[in-house]
Amino acid sequence: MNFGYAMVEAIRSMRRVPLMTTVSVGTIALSLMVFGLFLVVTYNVRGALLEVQAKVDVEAYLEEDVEGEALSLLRAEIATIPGVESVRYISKDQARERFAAEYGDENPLPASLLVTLIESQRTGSGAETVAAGITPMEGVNEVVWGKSWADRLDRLILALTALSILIGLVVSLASVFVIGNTVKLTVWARRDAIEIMKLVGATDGFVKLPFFIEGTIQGFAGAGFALLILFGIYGYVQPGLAGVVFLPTGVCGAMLAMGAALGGIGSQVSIKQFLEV
Amino acid sequence: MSLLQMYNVSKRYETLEVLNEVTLQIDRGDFVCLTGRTGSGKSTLMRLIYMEERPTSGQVIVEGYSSDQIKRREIPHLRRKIGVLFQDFKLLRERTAYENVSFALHVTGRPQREVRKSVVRALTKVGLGHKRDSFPHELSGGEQQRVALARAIVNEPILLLADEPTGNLDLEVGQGIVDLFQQVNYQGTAILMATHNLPLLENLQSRRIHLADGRLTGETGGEIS
Repeated sequence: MNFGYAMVEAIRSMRRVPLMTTVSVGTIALSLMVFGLFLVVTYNVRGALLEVQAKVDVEAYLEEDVEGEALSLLRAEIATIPGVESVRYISKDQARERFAAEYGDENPLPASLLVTLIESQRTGSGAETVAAGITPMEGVNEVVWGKSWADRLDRLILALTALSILIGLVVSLASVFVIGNTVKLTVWARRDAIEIMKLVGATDGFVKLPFFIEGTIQGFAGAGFALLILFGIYGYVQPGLAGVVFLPTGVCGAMLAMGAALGGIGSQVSIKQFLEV
Repeated sequence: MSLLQMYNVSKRYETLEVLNEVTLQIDRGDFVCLTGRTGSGKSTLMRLIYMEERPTSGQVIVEGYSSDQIKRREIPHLRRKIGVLFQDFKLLRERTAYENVSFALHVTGRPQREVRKSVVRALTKVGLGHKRDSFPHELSGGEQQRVALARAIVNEPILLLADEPTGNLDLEVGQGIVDLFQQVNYQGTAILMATHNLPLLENLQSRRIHLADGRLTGETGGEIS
């Protein structure tokens, strides 16, 4: 198989029908842009939720006079509970500093241990498990954690994940459909050439390769344009929406690869019906 | 061994019987004219030979490739040994005469230098060496058919199938094409030409076979095996 010849054929064919090529790349760009827009939104919403989730922790308020060896033992004991990342002691004085202005000289605040959870445990149920482990310990007066909001956050993340998978599936299926049909048009426009190639003894692989290259180039270009447009939109709205980030490089790369793959695969699916000569 | 053998070949499309128990043999160097009215099954017979279609029953054997055994991936190799010509020329509009012919060699993976030499030779053979850079729309009907002929013979086929090759041409131009067929035939390529343009055959030395309602009904100038 002469790859060089197929490459030349693919490029010549695109140059011969510039309008068709433009429409094809444009359609791929538009459908991938919709997909990319969805990715940017999901990525940012998820990022915001995960940031909140990172704040899920457990605070154990201590009884009076827990200090010295008893405090060290308690800290060590809490640290052994699965899901605990670190334990930080907040003394009465430190607590007081935070609230001195409000409470004056009196210090009703107890000393506490601020328990940071490992990442996978930063959920409503994770915090509950750790809290349940700390509550019966000697020297612990009360264990506090944001049960209601942590639970709500869990549900929100779960719902968002399910929703993004669902919408992602629908959008990517729609993209495959649109791109597949667009590529089919370019193949249809050249069915005569395919028929003649087959008549003069071209193998299926020889007929397919230029279309595969053409589809891949168009898909890649379409994805590139989609990213450029998205970046343009991002640059335009970003000043008004602090904290909104663009897709990470890896995801951009994956989108380019997805465009190329959709174009390449789309061409092969479309060409199949024309090979029966 | 014969170049082409057809044994009791029938072809049916659902209830429509196009070919009925056709038996035919073509040897190397034969020039065979296939006559018959439109719809008599001539084109179907051609398609069975280059294996675009398979017979409903019977067997077609071309250069050792049998219709009931040939694998899909072997068909391109068979077609490289057969040149095919149609009434509507089937040239690519956006390619020059040279490119239309070279196309047939590129698919076989021939080196560029060899391609150039063979294409120029084929175009010269059909008298169009000077029009190699012309596009089909810049050529007359007869010239277009000659480009198609150059494409069909550039691979030096053992068999040339021509399906109503003069159907779109006037008698004089058509005669020119048939003369070229004879030259190709003298060089050893067997020719099977389907036509209903009988005046064209008046001065032609060839085997004649006739198709009517899907049956081969007679032969002159040769034998039906």
